[in-house]
Amino acid sequence: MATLAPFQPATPAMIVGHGLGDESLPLELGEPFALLGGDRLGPDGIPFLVMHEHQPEFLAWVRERCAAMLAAERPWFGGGSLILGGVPGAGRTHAARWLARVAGVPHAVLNLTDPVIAANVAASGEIGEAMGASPVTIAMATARCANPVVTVLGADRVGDDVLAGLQAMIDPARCRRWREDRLGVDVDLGEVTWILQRDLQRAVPSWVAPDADAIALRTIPSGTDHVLALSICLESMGDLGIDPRSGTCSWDQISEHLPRHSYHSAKSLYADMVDALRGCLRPPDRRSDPEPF
Amino acid sequence: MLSDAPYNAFQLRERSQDGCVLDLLVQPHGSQTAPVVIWSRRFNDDAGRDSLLTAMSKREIDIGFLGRLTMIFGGAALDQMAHALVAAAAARREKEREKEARRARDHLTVSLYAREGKHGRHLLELQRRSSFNADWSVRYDRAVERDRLCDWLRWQKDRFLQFLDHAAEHGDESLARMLVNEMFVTERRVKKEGRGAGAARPLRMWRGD
Repeated sequence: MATLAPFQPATPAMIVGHGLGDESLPLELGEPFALLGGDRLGPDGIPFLVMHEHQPEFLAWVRERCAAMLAAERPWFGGGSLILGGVPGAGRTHAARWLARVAGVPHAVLNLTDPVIAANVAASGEIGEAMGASPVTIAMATARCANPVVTVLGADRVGDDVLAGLQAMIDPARCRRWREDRLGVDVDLGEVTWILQRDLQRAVPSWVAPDADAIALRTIPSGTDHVLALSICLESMGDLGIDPRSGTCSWDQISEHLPRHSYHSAKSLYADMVDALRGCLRPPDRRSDPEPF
Repeated sequence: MLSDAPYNAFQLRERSQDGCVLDLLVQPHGSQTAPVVIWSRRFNDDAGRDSLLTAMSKREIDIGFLGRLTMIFGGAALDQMAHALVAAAAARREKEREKEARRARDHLTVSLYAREGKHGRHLLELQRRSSFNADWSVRYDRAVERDRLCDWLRWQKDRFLQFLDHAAEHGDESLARMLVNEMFVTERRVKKEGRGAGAARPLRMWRGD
């Protein structure tokens, strides 16, 4: 008698691409894309793994969003829209990237200050450079995931035409059929988590994302023995393909390789962390050892 | 003992059966699962254990950071830190003990000082090394009177402690009277032996018995 395979809950999925006819869609957008993160919405999952105890407001937002998805019986991660304020270097991009990583979804950056991206978002068609698809669509197609986390840069400093395009991507009433002009496909962006960054001195117009939550990150703690440094370390290890449990690098070794004892910017801490990890992995230089005859 | 940070998932707890063992437990905020021990350490004495608990209560260590560190890299970092804290606490206690012993030694060491006081008065004082003020003092209008007593008293160093005990028991004036009486007795004896210096300071050339 054949034994039954253990029960595996099905991963929810949705078709994000909608074409006009029966032709297959580019980037396989007509195939079902997974909605990920549902297996870790509980208190032991994303809210714990995202760390960020030094940013209690951000942590509260993550917990709230996970609880809301569970309450709505939507078993995947969906953060809606968040306007994330903070001084440059407060770790806004890191927070979004790390959230995406612990949720198991892809992370894309939509830099509106880049004219090519801005043209794509605004669908102005005035820019000549070829832009196959928006970074959001590419992230979804690459990971075959329908609910990526998208960091939007420059929403607090671009013009209204670009913001109108962004609003069409975010607006719950219109985002289900967002037009990818060059692909000729309507893309469903309804399950995307939007994190709009803004500097503390600037503001994102309220009509762009009227339903968005808004929080501001605090400045990063001093020293390097804090949870932010650990989460940046884990992010760097993930980028370099290092398993923390392998014992290749200890925290002491990494700390010793960091050139500074305190940082004012998460960006510079990330850069130095990558260098420190590479330094830990580098074999010791034995050329100076005296060779006996 | 729980950190007061919001959403903190880590706590350091004494093991109920064995108070010398500390456990670091993790239980995510809002989780229904039982706390899980991620690090344990046995301390040789209560002082070692208390050094870690004190460092945490004084926020010298961040339990959230250490908990995360242990979960990511294992317990070696926390072991090292606990060892350093215990060693530092032991060194601090040893330093405190030495300081206390020095204070006790200094309390038994008494010195004689001839000083100039206010309003042109001339002082002769006995002072413990552990103290910033004189423990006994006598004042004279003329320096030669103070020096006359000093000529005798400076050779009684072995009895300084006894003098202070006398002053504590019978009062400063009683001690002053006793010292002056003994000085007169010595002056008479030295003069009789023909060793006195004469004039206002008969014991100026005397070097004790």
